[in-house]
Amino acid sequence: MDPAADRAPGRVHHTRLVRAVLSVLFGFNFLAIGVYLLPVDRESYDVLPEGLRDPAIRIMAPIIYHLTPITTPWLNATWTRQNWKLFAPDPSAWNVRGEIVAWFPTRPDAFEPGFRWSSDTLAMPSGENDPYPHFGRGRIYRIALDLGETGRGESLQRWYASALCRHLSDPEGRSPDGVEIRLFWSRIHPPWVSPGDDDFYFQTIGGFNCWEFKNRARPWWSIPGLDPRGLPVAHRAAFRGGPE
Amino acid sequence: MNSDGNAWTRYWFADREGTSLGLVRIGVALTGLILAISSLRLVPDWYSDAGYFPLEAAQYWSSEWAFRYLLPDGSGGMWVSFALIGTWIAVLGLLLVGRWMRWVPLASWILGLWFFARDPIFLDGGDEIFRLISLYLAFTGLVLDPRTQPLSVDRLRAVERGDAPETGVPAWSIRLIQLQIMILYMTTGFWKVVSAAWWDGSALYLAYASSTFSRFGAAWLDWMPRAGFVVLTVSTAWWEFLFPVLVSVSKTRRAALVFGLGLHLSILIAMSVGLFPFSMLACYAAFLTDGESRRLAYRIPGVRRLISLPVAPAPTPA
Repeated sequence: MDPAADRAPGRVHHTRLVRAVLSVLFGFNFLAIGVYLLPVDRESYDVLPEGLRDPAIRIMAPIIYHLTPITTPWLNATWTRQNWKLFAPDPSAWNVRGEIVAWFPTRPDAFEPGFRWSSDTLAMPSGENDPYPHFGRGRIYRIALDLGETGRGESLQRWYASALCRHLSDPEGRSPDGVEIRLFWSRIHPPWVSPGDDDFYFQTIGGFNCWEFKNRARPWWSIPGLDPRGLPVAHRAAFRGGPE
Repeated sequence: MNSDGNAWTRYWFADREGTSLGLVRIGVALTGLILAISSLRLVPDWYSDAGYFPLEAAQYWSSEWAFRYLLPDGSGGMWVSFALIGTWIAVLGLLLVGRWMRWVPLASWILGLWFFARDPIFLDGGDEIFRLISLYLAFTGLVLDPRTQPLSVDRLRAVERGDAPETGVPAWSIRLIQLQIMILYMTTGFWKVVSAAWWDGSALYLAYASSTFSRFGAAWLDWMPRAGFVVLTVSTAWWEFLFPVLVSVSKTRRAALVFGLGLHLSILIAMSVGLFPFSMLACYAAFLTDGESRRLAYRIPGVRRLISLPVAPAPTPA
């Protein structure tokens, strides 16, 4: 392909100096992107044939080690970081369904301790269904994967829980005492693969004590003395031992 | 305009008519409008302190990036977001028609970044491509004379005034987009080519059975023999990995683009992956020749007048 063929051959833009500056800029930009896309974890190399793994690591490691400090500031300044691994190497073989369980203060004569929220729908004791806008199917995936696995995941879980505490209310308008996110994972089987014994599992994120969020709008790192990893252990244990 | 010969110079700096750049710009502007308009209803939940992601969280999230400075204290209110998204929609409208092309692409990129930095949780590959191509368009806008921008009102006005330059655009304005897309395909293609799921055919089924992404599930694929899955996954993985070569060889370029067009249209129909198909298809114009771009642009309502503009200045009345 040479789309320039439609134009007069040999005509070029810019002076030599500008061409040199732009050449350096473009070259560095794509070098930075290329370095960023090289795999940094040893596990990524496991997909290569066994004989190629160690040579590949020996070649890549010094490139990444020496160039990353130079290229990262550029990526940060231009936000040209990128990740092209959706459905690669393997698409996820798991489907996930989410539930939010919110615990409300109960009256002494109440039989049920709270109401259960399930994926998109708030299932009320009366059978009435209210759409719950925060919990669409695309978002449960992000909650499950990103919030659970990234280095900043636990903070994000708390912000998300904080919003749930503020947004949810029971039919009497009361805010919840606590919230919990539950994830139900089920394995996907192509037609030619037999189901196995370990095709389902259950995961809990939380629980979060809404009282931790109620008297502040600030995140945890700006509050002296708050355990950044989540609720104080005693609160967490007490809450987990609560009505379930 | 100079004359020079080496391959590097011709590759990056040759004169191009640039209609394909205009088509990419129009596609990116339309993609941005889809994104911005569909985000209006999300402002209370996604982009305000009343939602689940307060401004402090966004500042913390983007603290490693320069875009931390886009999020000053006090900008977490819902009306700030509404004002900015309204501005962004207006700017994208100007980008669509090609007006004030020195600054409008830059403003579009920065406003888009604001929303991406304000709530990065649900960004996906489509947003990423939109952000990257917007950056390249912004840089192109800063460097090029706006009167040379193809398919733009700026150029139309310059022609009507009789002061339109005789030049087209430098090839780098299109090469940046081409290389970004090549890197994307080659990277994802590499990880697929070395993956067992893309060799045994299961990758396609897993993608279509995903309750997160699939619109129709995978039951409608039950009729297909396993060999059909294998053919589709292997051909897709190798097409992606070899994309830079396939679009650079004249004999395979069109076939590679048609394959990609079919792939992204099928993804658009069957899978819920946000902006990704729109962003990618917008970038496909960068791989068209000037002649192909002109023929395509001729079919777009409202663009015909812009495409037919003479490159040379209009004659001055006696």
